[in-house]
Amino acid sequence: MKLTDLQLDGYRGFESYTLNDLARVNLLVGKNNCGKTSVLEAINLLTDNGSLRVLAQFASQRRQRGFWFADQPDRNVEILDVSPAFFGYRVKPNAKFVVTSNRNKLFNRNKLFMETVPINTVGNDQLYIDPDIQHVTRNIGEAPTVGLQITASSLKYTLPIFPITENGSLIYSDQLRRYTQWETECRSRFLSTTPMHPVDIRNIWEKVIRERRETNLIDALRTLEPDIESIHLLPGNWSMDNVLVDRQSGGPRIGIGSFGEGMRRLLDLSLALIDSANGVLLIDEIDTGLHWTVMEDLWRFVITAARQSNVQVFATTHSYDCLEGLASLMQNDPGLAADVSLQKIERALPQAVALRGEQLPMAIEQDIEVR
Amino acid sequence: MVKQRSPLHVEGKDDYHALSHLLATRQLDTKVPWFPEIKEAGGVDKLLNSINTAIMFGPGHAVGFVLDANASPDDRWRAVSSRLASVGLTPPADLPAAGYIDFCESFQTRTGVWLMPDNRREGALEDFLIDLINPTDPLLAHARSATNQAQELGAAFPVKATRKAELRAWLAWCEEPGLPYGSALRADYFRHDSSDAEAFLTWFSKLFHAAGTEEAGQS
Repeated sequence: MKLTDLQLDGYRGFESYTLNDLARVNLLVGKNNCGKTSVLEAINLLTDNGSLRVLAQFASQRRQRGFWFADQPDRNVEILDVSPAFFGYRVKPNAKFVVTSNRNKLFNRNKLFMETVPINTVGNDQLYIDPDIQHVTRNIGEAPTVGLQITASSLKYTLPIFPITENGSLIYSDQLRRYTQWETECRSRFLSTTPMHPVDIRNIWEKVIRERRETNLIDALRTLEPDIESIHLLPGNWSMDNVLVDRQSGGPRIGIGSFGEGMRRLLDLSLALIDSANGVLLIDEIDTGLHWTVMEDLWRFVITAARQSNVQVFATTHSYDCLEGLASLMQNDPGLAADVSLQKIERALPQAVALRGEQLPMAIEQDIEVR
Repeated sequence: MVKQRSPLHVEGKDDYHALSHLLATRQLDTKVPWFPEIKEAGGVDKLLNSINTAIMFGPGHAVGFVLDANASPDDRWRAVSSRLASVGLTPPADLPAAGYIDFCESFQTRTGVWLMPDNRREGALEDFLIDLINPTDPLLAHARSATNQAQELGAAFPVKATRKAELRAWLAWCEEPGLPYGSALRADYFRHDSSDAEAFLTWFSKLFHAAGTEEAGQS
């Protein structure tokens, strides 16, 4: 398992915060704005060694994506604001955030630093020079005066320092975007509340077919429709109607689009779990689109699939039904409890309040407000 | 925004109804924001097992526990103390007569414990309620002697349930016979003021009202 504990220093709204006793499957709960999604983001950044591509993805998810310059048709340049990642939005030189996992473990400790330095202290051989920088600087009227330094303990090489403005604007060009897929042993996948992109689904489906993982998909879909027997993907543009299923009760093959939005969510979840094998899967609002009656089965599927594919899962929820479904599963299937941890992001304390899977049924029965 | 209420954990349904009605009849406005939500645990073992978790998930609130001392108040307090210690509290060796209240720093939770009837003697909720009956009431003496006689005649109830039997016997002869504790409190059958009840209400107010005031002070 990748992460046994996590520490955030200066990331987003967390000046200093820890999560301990992490398990294979972790459910993060807490009030609105307590930072659950920020914790998922921090894990994503950590496992992806500070990839700017991941930062850009967060900006998309938070609908904070920057603006584009299209006056040169062969150049797509985006302004990415990196300041939200820093506590207090401070990016003036000597701002820093650190994300650490397994901090007391000598060999598995993983640390990510992102800090800012004055650009005039950075040698040209260390600086990332973008061919578009002059052109864009003219357009935004501000030259970068700060360097963004990313240091990841599990990265085998040193990254260049990226120029940003005092407000945190980074010129995120096509070239940089190609460059930022830097290596990582363990990548995370972030599954937000919006459906997965069809191209993404198509790519993972190839893996499903090559590795004969169709039964994993069927197990997931059976959470909602126990009658499903087999699943078939038609060629061409991906859509829910191009995914056909056979049912045990017989009848024609039908597109799973007929089964509603919850089915789409389950498909996304099962594909994400397959694709995250030996890595980390981050699921925001895991119960989205799913009725309270399927929660226990949903969790059974997620924990079993996580074990099978060796995935570490971090999910968030606001829903009591989702929590109750998990507690009910812990009661009915105690063998799964060892792989589960509830983490309440409680801002009044310097660390999350953790509950082991086997303690969850008691907490629900005693009506202890664990959310 | 709905404000989450502080919890008061009690052993069982009798305790739940009795304490709810006691607090209501003593003119405590149950609608004030600091008034706790009373939760029954389904037995003393379940209550004991939930103590540390309830405190861990209580930051910013007060959490109260009411248990019966039963045959050995010392044993009961020791069992509670070990659970309190597991979340970083340092309870005293002897439970104070006014009840236990302290602030759990590690989880920022105000914590209180009351052992029925009075944090000192052995007994349970029934002893607490019997003290709310006028001691000169001849029916109380009659209930006691009748229960004693019943035991001699081979009644099935165990010795430890004697107080319960006495109380139920007395309730059988009230204006509406055989009301459960809560309804009997509501009907104002228990009119006597007892020092235990006063002490309990003081502990209750200090635990929950003061916590509410602190929160209000911060906002």
